[in-house]
Amino acid sequence: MSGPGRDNRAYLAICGAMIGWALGYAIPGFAQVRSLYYDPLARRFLVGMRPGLLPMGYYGQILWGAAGAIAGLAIALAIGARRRAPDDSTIGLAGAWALTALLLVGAYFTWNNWP
Amino acid sequence: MLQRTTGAPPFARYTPTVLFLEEWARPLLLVHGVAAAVLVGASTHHLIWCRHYLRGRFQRARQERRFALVSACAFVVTFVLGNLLYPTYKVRVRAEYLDEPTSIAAETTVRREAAARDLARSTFGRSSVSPAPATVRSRPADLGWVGRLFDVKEHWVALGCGAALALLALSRFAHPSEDRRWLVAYLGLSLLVCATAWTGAIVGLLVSTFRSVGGAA
Repeated sequence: MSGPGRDNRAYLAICGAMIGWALGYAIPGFAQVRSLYYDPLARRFLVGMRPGLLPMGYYGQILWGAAGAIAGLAIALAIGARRRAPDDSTIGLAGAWALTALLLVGAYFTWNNWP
Repeated sequence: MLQRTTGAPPFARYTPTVLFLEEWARPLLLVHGVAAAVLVGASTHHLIWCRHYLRGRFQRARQERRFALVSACAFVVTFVLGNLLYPTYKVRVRAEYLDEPTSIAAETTVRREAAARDLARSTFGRSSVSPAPATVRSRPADLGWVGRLFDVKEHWVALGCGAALALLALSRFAHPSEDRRWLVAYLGLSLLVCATAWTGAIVGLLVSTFRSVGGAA
């Protein structure tokens, strides 16, 4: 496929990656799942579920987000390959969900950590 | 606590370096700040330049794409540097200071004594003058909220970094000048990148002021 069709696939893939990034980033904070932690004093990585106050889960959270982005990208590309040119509502919904997912996840962490 | 060794060079650390990249924390923080300044400037420019798209004018798309590239690069550099600094922040700032009331109490006492000495010196030896009561609290402030505010900023910045990369990809592969239907997502991401960049810069600066210009006591 070339021209606008390919561009629409790229647009949907980027929106899918954004949605996946936001949801993947939220998983360790929202669900009780194993994640990567770094203990700065012991200088070692460990995998687990909230091992304490000092070990940092931020790196693991970013990895979850990256994995979600790759999954979202792959799903959007797979769906785009099967369908013909998307209509206006599909384009609009993809963009709206990408922005909404980012805002919702940001609001979730703001609510949980609000001073 | 916080005693500097006599005769040590002026930039010697107060604490032994045991954390990852701790010995590089200060230069990394400076580069982090410079990269953040570039990010704030580039993302703000990008958003401002995008305003013409609302009226269907895309003459400056080429320059706007360049700002998208600079924003994404600056965001990634700032984000990576911040992550490299994170172990030092987590232990030295968060655990040992913001979340540790005894550290704040000790600093409060030391600062009060220093303020009293300075006041005595500034009044040419009139030792009867004491600090104004309104400037001194009876107990140290709780700075836990500063650490939690920093956490909020970290999450928004992580989301913003992903948004900056998505914006860069859109500017290359699905620019709204080729299809107006992509404009909402494009403008939304530009706004989000700009807002998270400003939030990160302001909160980061705010947190770093508590040891320098005070506020705990």
